[in-house]
Amino acid sequence: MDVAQKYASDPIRVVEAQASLWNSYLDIAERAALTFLGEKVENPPVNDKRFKAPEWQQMFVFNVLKQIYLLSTSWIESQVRSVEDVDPHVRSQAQFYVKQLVNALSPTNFLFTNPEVLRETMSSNGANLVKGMEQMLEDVKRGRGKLEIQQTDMSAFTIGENIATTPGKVVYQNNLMQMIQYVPMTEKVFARPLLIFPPWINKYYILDLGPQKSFIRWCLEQGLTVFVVSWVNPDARLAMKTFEDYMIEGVYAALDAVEKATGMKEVNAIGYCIGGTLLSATLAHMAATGDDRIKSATFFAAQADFTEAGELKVFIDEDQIAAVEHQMESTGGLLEGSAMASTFNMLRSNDLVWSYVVNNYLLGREPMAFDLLYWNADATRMPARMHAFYLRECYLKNNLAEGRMKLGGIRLDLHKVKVPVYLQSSREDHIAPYRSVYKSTKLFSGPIRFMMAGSGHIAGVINPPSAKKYQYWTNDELPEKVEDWVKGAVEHPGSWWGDWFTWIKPKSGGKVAARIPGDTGLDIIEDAPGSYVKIKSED
Amino acid sequence: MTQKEQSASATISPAAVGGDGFPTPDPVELSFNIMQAALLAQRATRMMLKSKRGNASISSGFSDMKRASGR
Repeated sequence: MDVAQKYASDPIRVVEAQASLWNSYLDIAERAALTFLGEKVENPPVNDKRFKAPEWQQMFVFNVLKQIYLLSTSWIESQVRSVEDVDPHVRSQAQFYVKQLVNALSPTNFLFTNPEVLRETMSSNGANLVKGMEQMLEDVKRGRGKLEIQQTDMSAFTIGENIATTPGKVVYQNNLMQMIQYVPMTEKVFARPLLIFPPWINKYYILDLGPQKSFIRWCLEQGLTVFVVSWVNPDARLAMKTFEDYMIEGVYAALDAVEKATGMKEVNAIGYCIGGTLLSATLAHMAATGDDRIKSATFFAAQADFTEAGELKVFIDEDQIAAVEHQMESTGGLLEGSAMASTFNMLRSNDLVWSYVVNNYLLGREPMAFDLLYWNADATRMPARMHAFYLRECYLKNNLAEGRMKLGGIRLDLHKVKVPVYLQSSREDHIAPYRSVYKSTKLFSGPIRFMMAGSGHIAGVINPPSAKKYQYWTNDELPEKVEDWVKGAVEHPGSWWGDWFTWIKPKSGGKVAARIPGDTGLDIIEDAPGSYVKIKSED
Repeated sequence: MTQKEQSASATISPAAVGGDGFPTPDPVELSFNIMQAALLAQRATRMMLKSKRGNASISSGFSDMKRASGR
């Protein structure tokens, strides 16, 4: 409302903007008329996956429709962007909801305005629509009344069989997590173990999707002893768990367990996304208590300062957090897995919602098998108290970065963290943008290496060297502004994993005999990937 | 007809406007399938509206929009 009022308060600009829109419409009309008369007309190239079917280019009516839609949406979005004197948060909310609306209204999403769907309907006599609506009904049934669009063939994957298959054993567990010790893949290993804290939004096996993509397996092949925390998918019994519990029963418990399993008190640690935020907080807690067991910290797509925390910020204000808290109360003190999944899907609605609406419901095709999307759909619940704390303390108040967060009665000061830090970020990450991750370079006090990878929040991290995909940038300097860092950065082709290994290797100690899980201080509880990871949100 | 009109009518082909771009369906089978698809869509919608979860997801979408619009 604010945005609309401010927009309307400058009538001259409104008229100018509308005149410019009409001019552009006239351009389209002129090109359309020339095409109609048989002239060859070059239309501006469209780099939008929704319109990749040849009909959008070759068929006159649809080509014009596409151009009008793209022009109008780009105009609407630019108008919202250009409104002045509006609270930036309100403006970004307006931009977000306008984007949702224009994405929903794309001609690709409707039977009569999508030539690919029309062709399929004509050639199959509408069988695609019957199949599509059957699939929609199935999705509603599976979602117990809520439309849960299937993004991949969920029957194609079984955890522990063709996904999360790196051999290992669960050697420790408590209510909140299981800790997996992986079977070594080299005769000798580096003395200092590597302990990984993945996010508990979704599951740890993003780091072990399959042998070719497994970061865990790759670390083992380099001679590292790898421990990974597999967080439980909490149920009502764990609704009262707090962020502090994740620190005590997660990080501290894992450190104790690694010591029992290997005899090594000191570890190198990795934290991914919220797991990285927890690791930052714990490092500050450890600095305050004189606990120096973590000798180096690597952060994957993890934020400590949340002032520019990406597109999720659109959902963050007092009213919206109160609404989430109310929602969590009404569902037994938990945030449902589907709620988190919907939030992430909304951030990329063209890719994660509408493309499946068209593929599954209009074209009547089954979604393809894709391990990454299987992982994405395997959502987890969140304990209400932990989640509310995280949203308020990090996203709303930025208390961790600004030294106001307290855990275990201790005020956390990240400046007291002096261990070497490796900060991984990704150029297209919309959840933990690289400029947000970069802020951590000004928070920690030890030696810091900041690296920016190509791609986004997941593919930017899970990019094995064998894939020879993407690129990464490094710069030994850490200037005040991230823009200056980018200017001085050197681009390298392929995966950044080797760069990280060059960094972690001298911090990993000498070589010792490989450690077989169960041979030392901790008994084997069960085979990896363990039972916690198999708890589905719909169970 | 002017010369320009003659030239235009000579160059316009049905394909240029998408007129013959699609295969011709069997009208009976197409109608039957569209009706069946519509019934399935109706069942899915009813199921969503009847269920607490479905209703909650729809109304929360609207309240998000309402909140964002400041009303």
